[in-house]
Amino acid sequence: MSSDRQRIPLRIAGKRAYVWDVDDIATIRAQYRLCGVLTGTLPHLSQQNAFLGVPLVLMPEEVALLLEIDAAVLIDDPKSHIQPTMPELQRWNAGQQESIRAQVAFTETKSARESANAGRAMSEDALRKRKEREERKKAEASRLAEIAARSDGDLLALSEPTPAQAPPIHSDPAVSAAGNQTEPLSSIPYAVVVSAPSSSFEWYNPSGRFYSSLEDARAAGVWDYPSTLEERARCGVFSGLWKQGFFMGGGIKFGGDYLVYPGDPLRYHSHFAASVLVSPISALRPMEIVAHGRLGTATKKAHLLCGWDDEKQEVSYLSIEWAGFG
Amino acid sequence: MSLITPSSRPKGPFKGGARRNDNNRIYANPLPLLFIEPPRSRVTSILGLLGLSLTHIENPHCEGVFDPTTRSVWVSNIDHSMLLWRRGFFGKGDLSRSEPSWLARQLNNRKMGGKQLTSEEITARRRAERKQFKLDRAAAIAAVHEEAEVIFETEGKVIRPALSGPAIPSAATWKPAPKPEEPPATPLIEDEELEEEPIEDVEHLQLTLQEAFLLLWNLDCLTVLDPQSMTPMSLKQIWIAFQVAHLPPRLPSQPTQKPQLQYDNPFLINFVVYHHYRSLGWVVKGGIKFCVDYLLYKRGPVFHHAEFALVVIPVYEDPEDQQVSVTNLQNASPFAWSWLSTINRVNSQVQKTLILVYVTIPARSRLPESILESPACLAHYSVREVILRRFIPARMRD
Repeated sequence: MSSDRQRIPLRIAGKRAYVWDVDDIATIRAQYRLCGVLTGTLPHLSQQNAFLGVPLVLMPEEVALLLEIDAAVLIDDPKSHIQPTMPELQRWNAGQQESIRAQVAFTETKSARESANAGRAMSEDALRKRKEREERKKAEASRLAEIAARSDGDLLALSEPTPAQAPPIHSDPAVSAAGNQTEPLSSIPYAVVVSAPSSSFEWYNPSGRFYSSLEDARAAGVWDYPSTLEERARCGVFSGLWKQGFFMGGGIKFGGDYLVYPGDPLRYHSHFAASVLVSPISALRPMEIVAHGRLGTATKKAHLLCGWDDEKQEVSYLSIEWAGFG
Repeated sequence: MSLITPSSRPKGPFKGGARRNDNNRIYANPLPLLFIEPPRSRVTSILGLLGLSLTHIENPHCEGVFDPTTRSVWVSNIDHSMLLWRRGFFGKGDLSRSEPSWLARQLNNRKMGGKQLTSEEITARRRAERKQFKLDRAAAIAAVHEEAEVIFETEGKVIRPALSGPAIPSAATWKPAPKPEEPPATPLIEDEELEEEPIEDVEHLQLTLQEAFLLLWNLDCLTVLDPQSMTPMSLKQIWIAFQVAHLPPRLPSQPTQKPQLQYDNPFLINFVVYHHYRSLGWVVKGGIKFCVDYLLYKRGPVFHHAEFALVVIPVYEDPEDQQVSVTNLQNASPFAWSWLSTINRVNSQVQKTLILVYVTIPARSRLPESILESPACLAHYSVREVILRRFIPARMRD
């Protein structure tokens, strides 16, 4: 690999590594065969449990591996957000207003076009009926509003169309005041877009908060995985399997620490459920062999016991399968 | 006369109902003790009014030898072992999966015919068939691939070979090939041999210490012999010996030292659980094959599959007792979430409900040490149950 190749920025917050850039996610997956887990929501999907979006959260083992192969750099993300200056905030606010105006203008032209189209498509009779319907609805709504106003004055305030809430950075009263001054008077709803990568903010400055080695990051208190024997064992097993060309995912669903895939998990089922043992001679209860043998075989996987030898920095593998089963 | 028949089932092809009736007859009694009602008469009904009964208890009085190394009691008398198995499903044959059927299998092998199979033989045959099916399927897939290759070479057409289809057997359609008829000459010779040298039954029934103690203490139908002297042991001797069997062996230098009895002895905890569920009418068997401690059967393994799987979790009333304990009790310290999810998944795959059985171990500080020398200490243990089920929001909406 070329020496000038870009290291992937991993943004660390609360000892977790996030990747916000879609291209970085693609590189991590395609080039480094690491999957991580997407944890962000996708607002356009009706269900928020099947498909998720940015940010990608990496397993700590994946972060340690990327550091080991000099492919990534850790960024202390919370500290990279510096208190913005007034001009910066004003520029940001202008950008927001611009986006809102564009949305409102788009919606207005769209609805104008639609109503024009609707008029052309409908007959006189249909138009008349539609008008009647709308009037009926309006009367009903005003009647309900009156009832509501009588029972509770607050409800009336709520029922008035309000624009979506202003952006979440409102700690500074000057900012919110500036926001209110230029707020468009239109009642058309709009969305407030908060861009995902922090790097799009003018006041975001990670320089000086890059850590390209585990030692540096640990000294700065940003990242300390692996620090215990168990964590070292997990990292050793993970990189051992990764170096053999496997893809790894979390394996708790199948009673292991990792699921081991022969290729990209989107294309292949996993062949193994791997569990990490902190020593190649650590004790194993017979029940564990039964459980892993049963669960692995029932899900068409072999269970892989990975014993980490901390002195030799080696992994020994042993697979279990239920003989004469199914 | 031996209770065991050359095959575990009487002759002839059996339909489900007939076999059920058969099982109902063989396994009619849930416990080794039989309650014999006298014929109804005026006397019995008058006595019944007075709360007295002439019911007479028939106690079979079986005999077994304590074996400390395997932590079990061996019942070698075939009448006794069959009785303990058929009345309450106690123990397991040391050469069989459950019912001591080794002799029956041997006789069956000699007799040939192979029509009446023991459960072990059925399993072996099913596994062989399954293996053959996989081989057949692999061969069929390979053949389809080859055909596609040939078509590509000769006609230049690309055919994507299918992994399923009419040419490839599936688990639902595959049938084992009919076996060729075996020449009848050999079995005849074997039949003659059979009469010459009868097979000696080398199998014994193994009772776990919990089972043995329930039989001898609660039901009084088992005598346990000392392995050295082959004389009956007293209740107190048995009680101590069963606990000591779980302790690390004593050093030969201090043979007279008093055994270190503790409330967290595995025998005590297992017996508390075993006794609890036996008293509630369940048939309790070991659950190692589903990576749990016990399985609960309604009536018995021949009638139903196990409904519940038990995980025994000892809880120290006084956490300090755990620090000074000599036994490293399984599950006494909380196990990992991944292990819980593993055992739960294994058991939900086989349609069993997982029960966590919490056994509270009484604190050493509040009870005198001497109470451990008799079963009276069992009164201080308590059992709590937690039923565990995995909740899947997407699938359990209604």
